[in-house]
Amino acid sequence: MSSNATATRDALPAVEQDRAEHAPYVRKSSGLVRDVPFLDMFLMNASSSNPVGIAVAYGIFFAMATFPRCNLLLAIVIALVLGVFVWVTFALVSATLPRVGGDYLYGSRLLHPIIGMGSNLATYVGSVLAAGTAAFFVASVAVGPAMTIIGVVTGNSWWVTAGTNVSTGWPAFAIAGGTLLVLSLLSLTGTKKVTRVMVWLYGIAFVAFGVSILILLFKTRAGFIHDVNAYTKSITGKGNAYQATIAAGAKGGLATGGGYSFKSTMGAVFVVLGYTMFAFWSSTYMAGEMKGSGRRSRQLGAMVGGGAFGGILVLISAAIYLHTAGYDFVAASSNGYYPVGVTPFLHFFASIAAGGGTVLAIVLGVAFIGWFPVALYAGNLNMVQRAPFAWAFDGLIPAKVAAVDRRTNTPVVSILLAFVLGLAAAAWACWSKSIFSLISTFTLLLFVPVIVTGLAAAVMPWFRPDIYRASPSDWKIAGIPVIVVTGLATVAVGILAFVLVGVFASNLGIKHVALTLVLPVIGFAIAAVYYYTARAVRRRSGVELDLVYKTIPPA
Amino acid sequence: MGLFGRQPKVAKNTRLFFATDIHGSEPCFRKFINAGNFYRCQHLILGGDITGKQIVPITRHPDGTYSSRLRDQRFDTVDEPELAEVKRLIRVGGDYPVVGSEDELAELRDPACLERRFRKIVYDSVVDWVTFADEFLSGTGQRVFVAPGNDDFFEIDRAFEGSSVVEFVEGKSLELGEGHSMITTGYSNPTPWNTERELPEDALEQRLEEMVSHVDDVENLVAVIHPPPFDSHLDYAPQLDGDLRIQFDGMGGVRMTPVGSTAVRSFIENHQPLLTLHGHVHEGGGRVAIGRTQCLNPGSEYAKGTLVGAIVTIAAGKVLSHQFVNG
Repeated sequence: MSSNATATRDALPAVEQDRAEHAPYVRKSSGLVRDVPFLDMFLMNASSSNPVGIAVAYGIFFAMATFPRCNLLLAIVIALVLGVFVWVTFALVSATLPRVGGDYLYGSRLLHPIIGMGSNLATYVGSVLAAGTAAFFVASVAVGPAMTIIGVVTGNSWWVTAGTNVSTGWPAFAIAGGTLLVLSLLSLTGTKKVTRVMVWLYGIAFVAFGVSILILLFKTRAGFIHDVNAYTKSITGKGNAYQATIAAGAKGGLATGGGYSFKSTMGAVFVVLGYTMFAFWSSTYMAGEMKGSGRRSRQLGAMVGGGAFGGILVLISAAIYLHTAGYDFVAASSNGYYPVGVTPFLHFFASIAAGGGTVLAIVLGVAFIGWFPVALYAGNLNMVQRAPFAWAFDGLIPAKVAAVDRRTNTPVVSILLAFVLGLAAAAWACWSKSIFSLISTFTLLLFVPVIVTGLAAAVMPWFRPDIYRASPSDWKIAGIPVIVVTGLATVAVGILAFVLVGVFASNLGIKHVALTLVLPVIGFAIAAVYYYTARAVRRRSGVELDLVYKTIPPA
Repeated sequence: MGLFGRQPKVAKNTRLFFATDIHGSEPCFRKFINAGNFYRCQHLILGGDITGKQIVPITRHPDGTYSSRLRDQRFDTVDEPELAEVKRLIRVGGDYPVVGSEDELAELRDPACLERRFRKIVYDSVVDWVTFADEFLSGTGQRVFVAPGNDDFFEIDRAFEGSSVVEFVEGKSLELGEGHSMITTGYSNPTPWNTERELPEDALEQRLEEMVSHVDDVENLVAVIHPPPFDSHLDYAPQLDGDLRIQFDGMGGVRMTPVGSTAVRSFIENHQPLLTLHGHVHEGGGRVAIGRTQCLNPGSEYAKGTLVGAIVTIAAGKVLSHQFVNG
């Protein structure tokens, strides 16, 4: 059989029409696929790890509750600008090392295996805590408020009471554990099924969220106040809930009469970063499976575009919500001055503003639940299930941890481990005295890989010139290596997150500030002990772990 | 066996280094040749798809400068001294630079001309590699085994003739020492690209059966077979449609599908060799056990000049250890 070289340039993956003059000539050979459509990569980044509904609804609630006099929109803009540096850095590094493994791969290959391990340990623990919190939120922020909404719009107090009861303690843990169990069982049956469920949930939640924002967009402030007062009266018997909520908030020091606080705004930047910046998560872990992920332009477009798209949606949605509901009302309700506990409020107020449509209100309330399994699985649990693959491939952990079941093609041990750890984290969340403290802690842990990847990127031209010179990262603007600039900026963003947590620990409910800030150091120490122990153990069976990370000098 | 697969030490064992699918990458080949020294291995095995896929044109302009484009990198107004660096970068990813004026390069648009040019460039590059290996490894006692893959032109087979170091082992059965033997084939089951060395599954099975018929002790057999066994996780690749577009599951999921060989799988299940070494599916790096047989696919990252490989230590009737490395 003859292998005919082909000159059909327009059919080739690395070629675009405007590059025709220098287009390569490709012979017929395996692996030459057409590019992943840019839209697919873009949507993957825009959706998979950025549940925009939670970013808007819970992000606003979280920011307003912890930093009541912040300029939220300015905080979002600052977070987006900072996010661009991080997205560019991750896009360049993942285009350079397009393999499954994320920050573990970047840290271990570009800096040192212990740094890669320490970074990924922070990612792993942070994702476990985030998964547990998201599972708890299924009960406390999704199911509970949905039941309350049903009770409010139907006038049935049983639903209201039940909604409150399921949001805390054992009932919340049962719902959280049940959600984790269902998602883990789905994961065990194969990726296709769990992905299909996620797509449906995401789609339903996204449409409902869009409807909520449109309702708020076309509602006047006066109409919104009327609807809030009318609905709340059916529960409390008082017809001035909107004004009373603001007045109570003002008494509590929330009024913005004296203007916004820049200090609070900077604090809110940390919160917003946590909800908008991690758009790169999916691509960095999926990069190994993604043809075309080794190309700079595509990764840049997908990561920066996907992140910015999600961020701009958050910005627009927040602006609409604040414009219609009023800043003082949003701030006061987020701080517990509204008489009905339907955290995070946005979808509840949207359903009220729908003008008394009972069915629509219930649909919006129930559909909002869809965001949380997505955040739990696609944003966090999936990473926890996948991380052991890279460790096992390098021989750092027993291969059995990442072993894949022959029948279902799923990593059974890894999935079960993720379930057990997620359940423990959910228990922590359910009985935590300050959920904001827990969220801040895992968000901070997730900034560790940001710093490590930024550092790896910034030093790549000098530490690993062999990789840099042959990679898409070798990109200069006005003679300045882009990856060095964005890498350093990414490190700065990560350090800023630590500084903000240190400065605003009391706002975030963090009691053990020093311990929280040194958690990553403890993680790196554990990684060092583990690495040297594993190295000694493996050496006894003739395996030199160090060789995994060493580059062979070419002959 | 302990958690990390600890085994008692044995006096006699054989340490192999296996890499595959370097697709013409110059640094990958030079690293491969140095891997015996670096990883302290007696035998080096290159498991197929050793040649590159692309010619990258470098345009020579009337003013004596050059220009080219390599994926995301653009090279304009390159002078003579810089040209060598551009060529080197092109060879990192396994592509072949061709320098010429616009008119000369235009000839490559003729498929017949391109076909001839490709075959000559690929053959010449393999000859250069063999010469280099002979010079570098002569007298070291290391044995270098090379097999082709489904992507490699048949013409390259004769490039290995006369080498004092490199043994071209396609279709052969040979002794590795310490009681181990090895069979090798670079033929794959059919692919969507209809490449040079493909066989229908039944023909591939016949080829494997024919080779193993010359082996006395299958329990100590190392089988280097380019395609991995079907549905073994060493063979999971993105699913393509008829237009060679990758399929998605949504929510960030590339739809993966097994593309390995059923003939290879049944060969392993029926004969249970000690060790099988595979490539072909770059995304399928990993290890699985099929019965007593340890099956390895180190995967490939040739495009960045990174040599991915596996160090495997074998003794009588057992695989003592394996380790994947990214050199």
